[in-house]
Amino acid sequence: MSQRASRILIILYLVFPFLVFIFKLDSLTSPDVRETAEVFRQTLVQAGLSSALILFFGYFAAQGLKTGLISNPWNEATGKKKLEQLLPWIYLAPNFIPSIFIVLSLLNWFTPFPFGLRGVVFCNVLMNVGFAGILISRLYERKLSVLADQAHVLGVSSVRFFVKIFFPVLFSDLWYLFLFFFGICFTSFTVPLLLGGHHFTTVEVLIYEKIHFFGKWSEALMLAVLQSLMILVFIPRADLTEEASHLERKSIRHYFTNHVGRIIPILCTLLCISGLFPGVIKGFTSLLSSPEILQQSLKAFLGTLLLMVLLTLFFIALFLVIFHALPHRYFEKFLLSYLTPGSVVTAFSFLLVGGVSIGWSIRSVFMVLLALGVLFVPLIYRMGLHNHFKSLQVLRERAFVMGATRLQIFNKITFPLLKKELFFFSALGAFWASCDFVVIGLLTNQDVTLALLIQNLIGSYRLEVATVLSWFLLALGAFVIWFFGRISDVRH
Amino acid sequence: MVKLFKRPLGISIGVAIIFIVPAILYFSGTQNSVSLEDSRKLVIYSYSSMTASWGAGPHLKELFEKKCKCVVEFVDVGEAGLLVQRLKLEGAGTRADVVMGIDQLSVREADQENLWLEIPKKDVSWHADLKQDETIQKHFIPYDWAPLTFIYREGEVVPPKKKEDLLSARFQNKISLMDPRTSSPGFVFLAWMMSKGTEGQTFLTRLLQTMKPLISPSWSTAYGLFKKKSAQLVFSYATSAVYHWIEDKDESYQPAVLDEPVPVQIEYSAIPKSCARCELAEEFIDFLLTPEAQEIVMTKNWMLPVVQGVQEDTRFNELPRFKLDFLMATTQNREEWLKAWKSME
Repeated sequence: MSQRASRILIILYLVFPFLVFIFKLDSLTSPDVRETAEVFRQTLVQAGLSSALILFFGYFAAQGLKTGLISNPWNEATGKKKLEQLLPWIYLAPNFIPSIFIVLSLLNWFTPFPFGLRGVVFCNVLMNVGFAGILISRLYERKLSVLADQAHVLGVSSVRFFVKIFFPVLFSDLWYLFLFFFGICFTSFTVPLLLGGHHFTTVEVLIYEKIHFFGKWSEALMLAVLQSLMILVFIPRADLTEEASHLERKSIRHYFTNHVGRIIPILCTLLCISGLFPGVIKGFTSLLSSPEILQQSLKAFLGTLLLMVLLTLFFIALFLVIFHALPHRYFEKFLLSYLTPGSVVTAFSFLLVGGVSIGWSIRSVFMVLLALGVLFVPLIYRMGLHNHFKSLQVLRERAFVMGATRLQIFNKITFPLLKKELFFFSALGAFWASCDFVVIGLLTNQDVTLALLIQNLIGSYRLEVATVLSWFLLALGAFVIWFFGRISDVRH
Repeated sequence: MVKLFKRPLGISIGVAIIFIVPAILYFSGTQNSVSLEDSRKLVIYSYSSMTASWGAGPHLKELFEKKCKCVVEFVDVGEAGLLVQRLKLEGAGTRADVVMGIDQLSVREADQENLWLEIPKKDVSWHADLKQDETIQKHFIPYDWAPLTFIYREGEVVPPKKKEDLLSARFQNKISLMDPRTSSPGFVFLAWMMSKGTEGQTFLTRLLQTMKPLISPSWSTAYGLFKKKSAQLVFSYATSAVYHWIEDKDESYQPAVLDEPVPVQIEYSAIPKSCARCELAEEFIDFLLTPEAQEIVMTKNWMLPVVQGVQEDTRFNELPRFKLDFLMATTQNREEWLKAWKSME
C-alpha cells in the first residue's frame, strides 16, 4: 500500500464517526452561541491549568525515578532494586483505577471538597502526575542522557544545564506533552461530571447532555466538530530533533535525580488507591456467595483479557501503518492535534453502521476494536510514539538511500528499534480502552468486560463487589502490559 | 519462567496460554447467539440493571420463554435515559420489539415522537397508590414504580420531616444528590422542586448555596457516596431501604417520611411501531402484569409492583405510606427547568 493511500485511510478512519452522522442527520443545527462559548471557556481553562500543573509536578516526579522504563517487577531483584522497579508501576496506578473510586477516596479525605474548577483540576493532576513523570523521564533518557554525561564531565552546573540544555532541547517535546495532557483533560468526561459541581460544564459533558437529555444529535455533533477543529487551528508546528535515539537505562542520571520527587506521585497513588480498600472483605464474601455474579465475573474477566490482547495487537498494526505513512507534515499535524468526537458519538456511529449485536461475536469484536481505535490511537500517538517515529524516520531514509528494501528496513531497523515503545504504549492504551464502558456497552449490549460489570454492580447497590473486581481489573492490566513488555524484550 | 519468554517457542506458548485458551473457555461457556431474524425471538431493549445476570431480566426471560415457547433476548442499552434516543436514531431499522424503562418524566416527550404501537387497555387491579395517566396509557404500560425520598441511617442523623429541614446546619455537605442533566432520579428531584414555582426554585438555590450538597452524575455514584458515609442523606427510591433490610440484613437504613408529598418514579414499557414480532410483544406486556412477573420485578429490580396482591406479606409492605406527587413533564418544562438549574449559583 502506498504511503498516500495509508494516510488517506487513517484519516478517513479517524473521522469516520463524523462522516456517519453527517450522512445520517437530515439537517445540522448549531448549538446556542453563548452557552457554547461559556462551556468552551470553562473547558479550556480547566484543561490548560490541569496540564500545566501536571507537567510542573511531573517534572519533579520524573526526578524521583531511576528510569522511565517499565520493567518486570517479578524478576530476581530484591531490596532497593526491587523498589526502583516497582516505582513506575506505582506512578501509573492512578491511571488504571476507575474514576468513581478515586472520587470516593477524595471525598473521604477532603471535606468539604472544592467542587468546580479547583476540584476538577486537582483530580486531573492527581491522576496524571505519575504518568507525566514517566514520560518526562523517558524523554530525558532518550534525548539528554548522553548530553548530560558530557555536561557532567565538563563540569556544567545544574542551573546552567537546565537553562541552556534541558529546556531548549526538550522544549518542543514538553510542548507536545502539554498538548497530550491538554487533550486528555479537554476531552475528559468522567472527572468533570463527578467533581464539577452543578454548574461547571465541559464540552464533553454538554455533548452528553445534548444526546442524553434532549436527543439533539445535530447540536452534539456540531459541538464535537468545533472541539476537534479548535485544536487543529491552535496547535503550531514544532520542529523535533532528528537524532535517532533509544531509551538507555543508565545508573546515574546526572542533573536529574532527586528522591524527594517521588513523594508526590506516591502520595497521589495512595490517595487514589485508598478508595479501593474499604469493603474488600465484604465484597469477596458477597462475590463468593452469589453464583450468578461469580459466573458473570469470570466471563467478564476472560472477556477483558481477550479484548486487551486483541486491542494491543490492533493498535500495534495501526501504528505500523501510521509509521509507514510518515513522514508528512500535515498528516503529522493532524495526528498530533486531532480530537476524537467522544465516546457516545463514536459508539453510536459504529452502532449505526454495524447494527445491534449481543455479547461477543465476530461483528461486535470488530466494531469494538474499530471504535476504540478511533478514540485511543491519536491519544497513544501523542503520548510519546510520535517522537520515536520521527527519530526512526531518519534511519529509514538513510537505509533507503543505501539501497535497502522496505522489508529489509522493517526487519532490521524499524521493528527492532520500535517494538519496545510500540508494545508498551499499545498495551497501555489497550488497558485504558478496555476500561471504557460507553463504547463496549453500546456495541455489545452485555456486561462483557470487567469495567462494564463494575459499572453495573455500582448501580445495583453492590459497591463492595465492584471494589473487588476493580482489583482484578488492575491486576489484569498490569499483567498484559508486563507480558507485551516482555515480548518486546526478546532479541530480534 | 522469565527465561522461557526469551525463546520464540516460549513466546508462542505464552501467547497461546494468554490468548487461545481463555478464548476457548470463554466462547464455549457463552450462550450461542441466536440470529435476530428468528421469528419466535423477542428482542427487548432495557437498561443495565434490568438486564444484568442478577437483575430481573434473566428471570423474566426464563419464565416467559416457558409460557410462549419462544426465545427472549434482552439488549442492554446502558442507561434508561438513552433508550428513546437510541430508538430515534435506529429508526425503522430498530430490532426492538419491546422497550422497558421509560420513566414518567420522559414519557410524554417519548409519546410525541410517534414511535409507538397502540396497546389495548389492560384489565388489571392496579396498585391502590398508583395514579394512572390516561393520556399516555394507549402506548405506555407501567411495570414498576417507587416513591423517592431521602434515605438515611438510623442513629447517624435525625431525618428531615419536611423539605425545609434540609437547610439545617446538620446537613451541610452531607446530602447526596444527582445531576439532573445526567440522572433520571436527579431530574425527578429538580422537577419536584421546580413544580412548586418560584418558592421551589428559591428553596433549591438556597439548598445549593448554603448546604453544598454532593452532586453526582448518576444515582450509583450518589448512592456510593452515601454508602461510603461521605453523605448522611441520599435522594433515592424508598425501596432502597428494603434492599438493605433483605440483602445486607441492616435495618438501620430507613426512608425519611416527609409531611408533604414526595415524587414518584414510574417505569413504563412500550412496543415500537417497527416491531417485528408485535403479537409476541403484546403477550410479553401482558405477562409483565402477572403476579409472577411482578414479584420478580419487585424482588430483583427493587421497585414496587404496579398490581395489587403482590406486595402483601413481603418486606416491601413494611415501607411507610407516603403522600405522593405524580409529576409529569413536557419538553418545554424539561428545557426550562434544566436552564434554571444551570443558572443557579
